[in-house]
Amino acid sequence: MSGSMKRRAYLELHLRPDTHQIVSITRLVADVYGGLLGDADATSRVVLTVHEMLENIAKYATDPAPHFSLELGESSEGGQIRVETRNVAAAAQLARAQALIQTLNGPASPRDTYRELMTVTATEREGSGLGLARIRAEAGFHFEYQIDADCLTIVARGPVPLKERP
Amino acid sequence: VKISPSPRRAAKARFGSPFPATPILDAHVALGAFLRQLEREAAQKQVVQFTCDFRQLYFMNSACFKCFVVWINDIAGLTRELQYVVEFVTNPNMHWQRRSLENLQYFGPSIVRITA
Repeated sequence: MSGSMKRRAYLELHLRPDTHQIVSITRLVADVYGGLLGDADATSRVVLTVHEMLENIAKYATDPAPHFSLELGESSEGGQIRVETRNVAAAAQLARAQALIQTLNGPASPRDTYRELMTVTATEREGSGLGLARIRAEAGFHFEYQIDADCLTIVARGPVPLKERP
Repeated sequence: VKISPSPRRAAKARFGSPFPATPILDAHVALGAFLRQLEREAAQKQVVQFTCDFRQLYFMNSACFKCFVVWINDIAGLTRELQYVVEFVTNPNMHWQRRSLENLQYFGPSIVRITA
């Protein structure tokens, strides 16, 4: 978070979550961050993002303790959510993630890109490949990414309404 | 998720849910198989509508959502007389449902019906 951004909540984990842990974490996020966010729609968008990104590290991380963090900040312009994952992955997965994020950050509308991917995936019985596109299209967050050797960092971030302080 | 068919004729099949209220990592395997079974049953029993009750569905991951994309895409590929409607009964308090299902509706505007 930048210097002008004040942290309202921060959660950091180092684990490769299993199915039940993903559900537990997303419920925790809904409870804790839901109490800080200004409306249920924002909470829903954050939960969707957290769930999909946790599933990605569960599926694709090859290191035993990948990094996950969720930060809610506040500035004079409002709230800002930042979800980060960092994990080691196979070369093919790194290339796939890079290509996908570049597409999602491209000029096409996120909804059109998502629907295009849905069309492609509709004829494939295996795999989804929709998680990040869904975040971009349905949660409205932007992506940044970095690849250092075999380590992939993905950040999803975007503005969110904050609940008024009492 | 509860899914029930509306028969074109007097089909009385009932389909139970194969997955828990919150579909998670491997649930898409069971869900995909279940929906393929529904497709076969629909063809045999001339079903005109399925109703998917999402009112208690807290979340659906993209892998499970893709199963519905495949299903709707398959229905859209049928001849018009074999196509059937898939109605999704939603919970307005679960905001992801509207966003996700509107994208699903894109695949079959005449097939996907969203009700609250």
